[in-house]
Amino acid sequence: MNNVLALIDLYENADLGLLTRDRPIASTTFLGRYAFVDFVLSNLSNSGIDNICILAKNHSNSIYKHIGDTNTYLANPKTGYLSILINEEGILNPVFNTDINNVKENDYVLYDDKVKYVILTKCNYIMKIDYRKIIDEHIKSGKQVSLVYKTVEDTTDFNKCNKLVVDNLNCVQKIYRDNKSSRANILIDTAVIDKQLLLELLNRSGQISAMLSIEAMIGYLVNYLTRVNAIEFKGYVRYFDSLEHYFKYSLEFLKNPDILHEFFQDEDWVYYTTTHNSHPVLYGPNAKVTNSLIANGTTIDGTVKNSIISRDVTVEEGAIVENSIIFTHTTIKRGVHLKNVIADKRTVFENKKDVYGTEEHPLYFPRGVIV
Amino acid sequence: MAQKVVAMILAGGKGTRLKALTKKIAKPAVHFGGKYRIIDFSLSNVANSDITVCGVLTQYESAVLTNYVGNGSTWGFDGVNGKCQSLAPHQTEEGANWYNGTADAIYQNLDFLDDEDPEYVLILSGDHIYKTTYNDMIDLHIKSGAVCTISVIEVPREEASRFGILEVDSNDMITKFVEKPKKPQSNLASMGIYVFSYKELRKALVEDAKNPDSSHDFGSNIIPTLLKEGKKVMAYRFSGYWRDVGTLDSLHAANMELLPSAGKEDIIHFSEFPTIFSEDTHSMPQYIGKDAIIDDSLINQGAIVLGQVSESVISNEVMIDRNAKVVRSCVMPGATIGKGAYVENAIVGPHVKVKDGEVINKGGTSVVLVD
Repeated sequence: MNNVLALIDLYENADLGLLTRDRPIASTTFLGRYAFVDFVLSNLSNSGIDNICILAKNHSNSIYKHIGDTNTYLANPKTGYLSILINEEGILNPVFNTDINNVKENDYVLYDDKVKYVILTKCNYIMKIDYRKIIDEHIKSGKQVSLVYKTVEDTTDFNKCNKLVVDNLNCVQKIYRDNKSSRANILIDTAVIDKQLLLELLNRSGQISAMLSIEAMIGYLVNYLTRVNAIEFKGYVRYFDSLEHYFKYSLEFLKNPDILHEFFQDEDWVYYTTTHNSHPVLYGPNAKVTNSLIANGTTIDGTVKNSIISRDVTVEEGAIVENSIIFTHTTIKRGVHLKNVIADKRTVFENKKDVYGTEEHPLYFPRGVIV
Repeated sequence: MAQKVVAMILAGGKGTRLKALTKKIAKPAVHFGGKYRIIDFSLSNVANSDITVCGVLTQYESAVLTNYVGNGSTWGFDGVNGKCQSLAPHQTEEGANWYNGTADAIYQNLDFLDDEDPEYVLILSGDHIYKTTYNDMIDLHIKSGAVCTISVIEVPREEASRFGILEVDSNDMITKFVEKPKKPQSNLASMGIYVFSYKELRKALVEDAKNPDSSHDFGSNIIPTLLKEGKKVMAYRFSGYWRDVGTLDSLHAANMELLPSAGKEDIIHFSEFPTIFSEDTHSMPQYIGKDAIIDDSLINQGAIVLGQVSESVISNEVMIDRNAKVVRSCVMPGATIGKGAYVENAIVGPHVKVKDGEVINKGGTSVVLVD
């Protein structure tokens, strides 16, 4: 699909609390091996979309580090490309560091004559979405803009998202936000816009505000400009907007292995990520491991239960890790019992023996601390 | 650009003693240690020796191997001065021939070497498991002014008649080379690793090719001829872990040596320098089920373990179903062990399906191949 360009917008994403203090959600570890951006990139790649730009707001180093070799994600890195776009002016003057200004500064990506449609998307959602279907529906609608939504019965966990009123003709009547939990159409921050219209809007955005965001632009489109098409997405969606949700949705993959199956046992829809030279997982003679996801490079001689363990972690004999998420290069020494814990990279658990959070409020340990 | 050292890896052997494992793939492409293939070891050793040009001589069932080697990017041979090329027998002006012996294989690729114009050629066998860099050996070769240097390892006297055995003088200059001697006079075995000064190698190969009585083999012809001509041939003493995995028993035994209980921690550290590079499959982290029992094992990403694994090496995308039990076995990629099945002391080939309830080699003391 060389007529489609995808812009992955890392601006105004809801954050994951302390977890995203010095990294964007895009490069935050998920399920032991992946980063959030891998899901968007793989969905795009599996949909045959090979022109991809990431609009980085800050901490772009962490994104560069994760993405590394862009060949990982692209079907053909010569005919397609994956670029990380920075708004240099915005770095000097953060007030103007908006996604729209980022696209304006890098608008050369829109010059490609082949590109007719632009997908706007974010990293906060974990879903398996086929963008080919979205593009097809967009073209069929004859509209210049389409927004993708998911109808949710109980919207408690989506209250930081925009909601849509959709009429019988599949047009968006209204974008709104509220704190109610009743059934609603959640805008899953995925849109398709005709490139020509996007270019016009970029030209005009300065007349509205120098600090306009893509989100505000979409609101403006719905309210004042044009009839916007609505496309329903029916698959599994989780919206990551807090540390608690990160914990809950990660462990959900273990509580319900059907989700694991849906995402990772489909040969036609592979999730790609940066590769490493880690050895397979070593299980010692005293290992007791159940209901867990374990990434390569890890050595376990203790007990691991209902947990997600990233690369190059050590769980010593006599250590217990329960209901926890452990990031790379962390060590859990003999006699330590972790429960409901999120341990960031290179943490060492050694002195304090019982480290317990609760299921609702996991304990978070930042990178490199010795506990 | 002229290269100082070019490596040539002999990877054409059929590996008949590995039986059905090499029915469809060459021995160097056989899986090892859950994540690796045998040829990863020599290719990684070459890369870690800062040698950037490498030819892989393939012949028997070369498709899988050629595909796996690709452009060598897995081992970093795709850098600016890098090259990694599969060299299968090809048609030339002189006609079309299969490789008829190890020396003939190199002889038929003199064009490749002439193009690279190396000072030295490192000739390796692609079917050994070991971690090293060849720099010390090359240094010794250069300093000694030898025509050829052969890497040797001390083997127990009683096993010496299985190897090419060398006799040396007090300066480690080789005085005699006998292939598989009935009454070995020394315990220094050739590892099939040679450093040649290219000019001398070229001369020797051209001469040997003219000899209709020669079997065109380095061990049986080239080296004895050099010695007869009074050329300086040196021995380089290798110490450390080195395994020839030419039989099912030795392949199984070498896999078992990777388990924590074997206490060879130093060899399992494949991810430490000199790192063994391998294909990092796009697999999810391994999933260990609610009722799984694992001890003393090595398990690669992408595996799903719902049953029991003890003292075993499990590759990527292996499924061990509920109540299945795998003991002292190596299970190769994509294999399935059905519900309630039992496998002991076995090598389970790639993509093999062991049926539900099937019992294989229970209590068996010799290793069986399941294909």
